[in-house]
Amino acid sequence: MANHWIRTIRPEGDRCLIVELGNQIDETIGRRARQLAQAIEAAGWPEVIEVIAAFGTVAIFVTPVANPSGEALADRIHALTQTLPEVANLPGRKVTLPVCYDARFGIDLEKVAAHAGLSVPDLIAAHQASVCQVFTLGFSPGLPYLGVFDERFDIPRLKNPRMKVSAGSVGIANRQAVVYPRTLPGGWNLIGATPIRLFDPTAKEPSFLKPGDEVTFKAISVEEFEVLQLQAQSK
Amino acid sequence: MSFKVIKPGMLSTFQDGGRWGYQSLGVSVCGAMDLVSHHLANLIVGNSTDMATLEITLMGPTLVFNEACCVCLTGADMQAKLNDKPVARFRPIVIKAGETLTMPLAKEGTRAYLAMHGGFALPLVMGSQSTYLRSGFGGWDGRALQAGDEVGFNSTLNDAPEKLDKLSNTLWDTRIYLPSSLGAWSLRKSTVRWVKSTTWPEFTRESQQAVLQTHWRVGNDADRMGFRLDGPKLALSEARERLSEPTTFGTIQVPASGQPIVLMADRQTSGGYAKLGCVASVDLPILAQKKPGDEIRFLPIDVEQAQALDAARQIAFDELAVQLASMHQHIRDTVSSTKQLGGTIP
Repeated sequence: MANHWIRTIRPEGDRCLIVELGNQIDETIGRRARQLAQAIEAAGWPEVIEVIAAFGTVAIFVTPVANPSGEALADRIHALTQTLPEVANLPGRKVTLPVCYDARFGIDLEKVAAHAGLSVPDLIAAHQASVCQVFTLGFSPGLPYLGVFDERFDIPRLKNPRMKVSAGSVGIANRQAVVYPRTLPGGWNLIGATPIRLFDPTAKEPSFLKPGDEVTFKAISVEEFEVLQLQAQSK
Repeated sequence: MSFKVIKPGMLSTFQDGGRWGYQSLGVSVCGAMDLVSHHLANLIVGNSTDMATLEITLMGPTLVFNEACCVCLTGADMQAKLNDKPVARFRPIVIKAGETLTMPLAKEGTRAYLAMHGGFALPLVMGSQSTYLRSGFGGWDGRALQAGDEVGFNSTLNDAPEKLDKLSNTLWDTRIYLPSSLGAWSLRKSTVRWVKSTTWPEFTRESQQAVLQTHWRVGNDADRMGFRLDGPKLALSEARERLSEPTTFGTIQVPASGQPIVLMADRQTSGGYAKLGCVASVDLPILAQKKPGDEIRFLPIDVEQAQALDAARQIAFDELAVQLASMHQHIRDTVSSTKQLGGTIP
């Protein structure tokens, strides 16, 4: 039984409850959050309009009238965890993200490699050897927060964020990676770019990545990048 | 069945109750800033409350209608005129083909809402008609209205003059009793009730007192994403690392600058700053009707109180819907044609 998963349940204003499972970035806690979120969704409670898992928390958004007291909902969530397995067992989709590590995209590669004490080729190899989890998507639609990388990727964000980071850029900081779905401001260290279109609001599945996905990066050449980018644009 | 935009106004965007269900993909909820005025405009004009209304900010648009229709204006007083005749707010209004609606400047409040009987012909993008300005999708082509746009609507009224005059008279003779918790209530208040967060005790005693005693001024950075508040700098007793977590409409967060920000309709889906608490849903319209320079004060209430107020507001809406049912029948009886909901992408 999984009733030890929950640390606290607290109201976030009058239309949201936050269930806290942990306050560090951790794959086990991330999986628990996602499994609990899915169980709450599946329970089909009428006042619940949206459930989201992010890092170590699950947020439950509710409508006003059907929720005269947050207590009852919290009790139901505690009861629900009794029915969950001790070890979170939701399989994440396995997704491969092609990345071109050419210097034109990886403008911070040398700095990141030096910080890790590696050569640039070894850093690229280490990045591809890491399997990471999508903890949450945020900041902009379809933008994944991926982790956890080993200590070699524990590099701080830029002191002065860039006003414009191109769509597709892959950034590294604090043992996490992000991928920019569109041109955005950003302070992450850029090591490459993907030609994949990460977000399309008119598509049936708007986001290429989903919370819980297990992502690996695969190196591609500049030529492959250009071909894949053309294909993504013509879709 | 359309209106043409002659002047776009400062920021006129279509908004509904919000794009729910996609925050886990990083998609902001968006939706109307003043959900009560949005809801009320739809309700008075006989729509379901999930239809988009036009949210009009400070300086409104000038619109010319090519067919007869029925609309309602709520929220801020934009000094609206229909062919130079003043337009009453919080009432259904009949517009004839060729008439021009102007909404020059907000005299009171900041945001007005224009609902159209039958709704505007806008596609659903990810389940919502709300404009998501930052990401450029939803609503009208993902952006605010511009001069020259021609926006369709779904229902037109029978344009025989005697029918329209009869409907106008019937609507004018209908008394609408707005409960005190609805209507223009939010425009004149400046005390905002809120619920403390569990991180409230982490703020210094001086900061806690400042939150409660200060007349906060809405800063120049006050848009659909959030309202920055000018006042004393707030501080935590001890800084600590925080994991970013989901946010809600009304979350009051304090970044390192010490200047509180209230998150509004276009808020990002998560944030990692310390939180004072959350504005009670029932008082979010007060804030939505403020503009830079306006003053507000914070009054803490407990979460049960906030939920009870929120539920009472919902009941007031339900009762109003019952009261207006026969008036809505008159409008429906005068409709001449209705298009399938959801138009094509412009």
